[in-house]
Amino acid sequence: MSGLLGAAILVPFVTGFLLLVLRRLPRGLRNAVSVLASAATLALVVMLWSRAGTGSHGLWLMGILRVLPSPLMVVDGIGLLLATVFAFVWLLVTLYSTGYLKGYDYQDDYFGFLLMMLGAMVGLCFARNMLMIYLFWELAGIATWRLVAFYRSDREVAAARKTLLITFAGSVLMLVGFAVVFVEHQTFSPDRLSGPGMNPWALFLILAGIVTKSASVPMYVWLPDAHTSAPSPMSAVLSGIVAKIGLIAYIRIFIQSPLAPPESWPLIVGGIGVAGSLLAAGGALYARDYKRVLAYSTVSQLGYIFIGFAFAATFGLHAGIIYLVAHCLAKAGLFLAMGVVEKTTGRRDLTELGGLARTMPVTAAATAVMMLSIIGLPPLLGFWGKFYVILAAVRGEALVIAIAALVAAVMTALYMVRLYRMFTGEPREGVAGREVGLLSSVVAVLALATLALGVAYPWLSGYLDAALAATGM
Amino acid sequence: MNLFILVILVPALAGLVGWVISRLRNELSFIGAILTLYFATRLFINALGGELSYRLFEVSGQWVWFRLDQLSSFILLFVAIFGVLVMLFSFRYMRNWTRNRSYYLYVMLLLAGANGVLLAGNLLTLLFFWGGLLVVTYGTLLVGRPGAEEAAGKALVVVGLSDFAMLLGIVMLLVATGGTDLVPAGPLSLSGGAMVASYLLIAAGALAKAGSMPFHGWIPQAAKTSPATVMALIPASIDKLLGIYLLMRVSFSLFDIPGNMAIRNVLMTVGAVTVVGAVMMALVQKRMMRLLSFHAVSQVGYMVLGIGTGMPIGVAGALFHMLNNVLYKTGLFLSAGTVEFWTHDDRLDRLGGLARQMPLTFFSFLICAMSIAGIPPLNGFFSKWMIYQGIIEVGGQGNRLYPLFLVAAMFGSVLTLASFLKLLHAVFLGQRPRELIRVREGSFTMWLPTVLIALTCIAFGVFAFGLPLSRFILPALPGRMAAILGQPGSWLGVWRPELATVLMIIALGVGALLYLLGTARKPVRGRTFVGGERIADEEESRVPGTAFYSSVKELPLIGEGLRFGEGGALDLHNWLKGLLGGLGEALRSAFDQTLDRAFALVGRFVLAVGAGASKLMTGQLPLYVSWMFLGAALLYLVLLLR
Repeated sequence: MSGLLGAAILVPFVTGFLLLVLRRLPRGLRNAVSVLASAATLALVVMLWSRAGTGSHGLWLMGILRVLPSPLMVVDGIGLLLATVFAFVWLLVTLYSTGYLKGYDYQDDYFGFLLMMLGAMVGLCFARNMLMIYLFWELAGIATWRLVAFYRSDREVAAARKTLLITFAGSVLMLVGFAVVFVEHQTFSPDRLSGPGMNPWALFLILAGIVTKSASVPMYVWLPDAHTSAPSPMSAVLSGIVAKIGLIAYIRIFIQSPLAPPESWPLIVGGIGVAGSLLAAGGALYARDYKRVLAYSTVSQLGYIFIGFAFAATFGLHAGIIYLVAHCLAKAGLFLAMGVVEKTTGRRDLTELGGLARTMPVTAAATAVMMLSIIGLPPLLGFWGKFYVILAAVRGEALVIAIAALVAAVMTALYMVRLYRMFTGEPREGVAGREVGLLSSVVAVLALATLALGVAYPWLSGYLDAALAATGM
Repeated sequence: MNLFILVILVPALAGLVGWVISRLRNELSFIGAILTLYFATRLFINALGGELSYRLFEVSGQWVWFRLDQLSSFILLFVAIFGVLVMLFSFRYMRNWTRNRSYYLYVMLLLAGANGVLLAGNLLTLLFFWGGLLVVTYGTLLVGRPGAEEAAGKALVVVGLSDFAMLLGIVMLLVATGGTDLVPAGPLSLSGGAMVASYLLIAAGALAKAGSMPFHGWIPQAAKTSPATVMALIPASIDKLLGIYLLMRVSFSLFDIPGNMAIRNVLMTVGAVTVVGAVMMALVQKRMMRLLSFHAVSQVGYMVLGIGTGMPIGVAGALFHMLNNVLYKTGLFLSAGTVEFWTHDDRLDRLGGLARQMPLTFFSFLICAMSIAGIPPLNGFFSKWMIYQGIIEVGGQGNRLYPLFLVAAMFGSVLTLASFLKLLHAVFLGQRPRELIRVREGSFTMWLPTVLIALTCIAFGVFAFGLPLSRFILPALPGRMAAILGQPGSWLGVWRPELATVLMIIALGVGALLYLLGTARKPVRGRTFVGGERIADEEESRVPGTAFYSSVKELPLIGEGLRFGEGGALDLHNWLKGLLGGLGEALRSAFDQTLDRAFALVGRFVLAVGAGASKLMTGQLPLYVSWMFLGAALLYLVLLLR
């Protein structure tokens, strides 16, 4: 295994494991170790950029699994981009968590699992073998289960259980799909598949798993509950990064496989995406808990990425990846911003908040930037994502899907404005928000990143096109 | 540095620096606005020599680039002029308002965004600035009295919807033709569903920007809470200029609507409905700003009508009307702002008799009001006259509907006059309420912009050929239209504004002479018989202007229509909110909750099966043995029956 790639996965994983085992470290030391391990992961991922194109065969693992010699992990352009963004957000979230969770129980548990999940995510970004994907996928799933239930009251434990059971049911279906593929093609490597097309059962089962993990209709029901229960930094990671696992698997298994998808495939996946997009936007219009609004919004935006990937042949993969990155930065930032609001006001109900911009100008401005990115306004990154997703759908001759997606975009604007009233509306009696130095600056950094990547889009787009061309797309 | 970049960057930077160094924000904003005007003037002069362009960078095969021709350069110039005038007015006026710091930032960003839209060489570049403007508009509308965020949110949603419609139109164009240049080699023919849909979607974006029905709902709403300068800048000037600019571009440069009568009828219908619908609403308003805001909607109708005719004279008239409307509408909002600055109230029944105390403001308001009502020889008359001619010429092409459009346009004009008579009476004439005795004329920075605008209105009317038409309007038309119109003056019937003005001045002079010589000055004075009633107070017998035309509401059909409109029935925002809200609710209750319950049910089923199974596991050997026998018997049966 390429040393650097192994290190990028194992450093956070082992550190997290050690934190879990060696409980009762002094608080300061534990926080410092967590932040340092995240920073080290980011540094290792950045160093990996020089190793693009290398892979790891993990021969000993292959011996055990008796798979054909094909790389288990490949360092490619898509993986590098995603892993860098993820590690960057993760570092910020870890930093934020050290301030946000001060004084709560089970913090060792929290930071340990958070770090292990980071290792799993970095691994997932580069995994090119179905079993490796499944391995990292489940590791992240188990960590999610622990982290959602961080507060340990009945409601949170129930939500965590729901999350685990539903996503696990999905991944079991997917595993059966992998088995079907293996029986037909004698390989777990999507790049090595050959023949007229994938078995329809395998297609269905794997897609079911992906739709469950990346929360689209009809399997998204775990996500709103998980977000309302989890602490805000965990929600940020869950929405921004963990919910993308299924989509990354989609790229690796369906888009990068040489097998031609069935004729109706774009319409099925695009239909699932657009249905999720509309449905969840409806939910977001009515939810009163602002974290629930954002959770529904995540389902809605994930639908957009599905639409992009559905029309992968017509520029959609590019569009979907840009949207994925935009959503990762903006939604993580929004959850962190709402964390500041929740921490200082103690309220979770939209209708009880108003006029917070006066006392929290930085959070308000940063929230505005990230919201506008998700609504899809230039020059923010979300605009480019949305524009090219629509372009891909129209090029794929699915005008109905494009129109429905734009209706969802209007609904996004509606519920985001509704959410933003907490900053612009009339101030309420007895509700005082304030900035918290560390937390607010993390939020501001994410807003700046959203803005900067939007402005730097021509460069990003050039890079991504080159990366896609290098992988033969 | 390149002028294209400067004219966008300088106002934005001036605004941002002014926001940071808040003590200097007025000075910095003013310098920024003046510099913008300087750059815009230089660009205007450069563009006289021919088209200019400047390529920025390429994104996935599409260029982001700027181009400038005579149409965009003259609008660019006027955006900068209005920026300076409104900025001048703001210094004093905005002292009554809070959140000044963000106000100046937003206004400067608004200028920068508008310049970007006008310079955009293709629709992708335009979309970029268009979306940015949407956000800045939202922010600007937030500066205001409590309740401002409602209007701002409404604007964001309605204009945002049209932006997304436009995005779809642009994408369809891009897929169909491979490019989004605003001025391709030749206009694209409007044949085939995709092209028509693309045109209609982009035109919807332009109409929403201009504030035409049914996208108008946020304008009267904003009038309740926003400062007069914001009204003067956004719905009255910049939005009109940009919306009509884009409509011109897509209708004549990008696509070719004169070749498609159905589309022209759609546009003319939208225009006619907007003219009449909004002016009827204006008649019955009780607040000054709100009344003016309905006219800001109504006047767009004329421009859309003119463009919809597709006849060169109608299109030239529409462009001219856009310019005129921006002038007098800005003048009206600013003059009204001066009144409101002193009275702190814009309810018409609290105002009256202010002409003597604020003569300059009265003068500007009067000129602008006469101009909007279309009284010759002012500019508003002239451009309407051209639009009427355009409509009649459409009739010459065999359009059977043209009398309807003509009647609507003229009817709208009459009602405009009527509603401005009401406004003039209620604010400047009539009796003055006692508490307004301290009202004074606005300061120099407040009356100068309004008087300048009023004088321009006169000049553009009297010297219509010499100044606006030959300098700005005719060169800005697409080449083939300008060629048809040819020499100004050859196509205007018998109307000669200079001569008419002289005649009118003579007539007025004769009238004044008769008045001075005649008996009109010597009225018979006597005591009024009041039946023994004691008149307690002059104040109580005052006749405010609010009651004018309120009887319109009693008319059978029209009254119904007005109540319909007042209730928000014509407002796209309300339709949209209802529709999407309903959709959301239906989806949520039918789908979301059902799914949730289904998952809960699965969970319960699994638990029940588990519980049932655990009851079988009692730990007694005989029970297990009997199960084994039962199983074996079943297997045996299955194998036997095969």
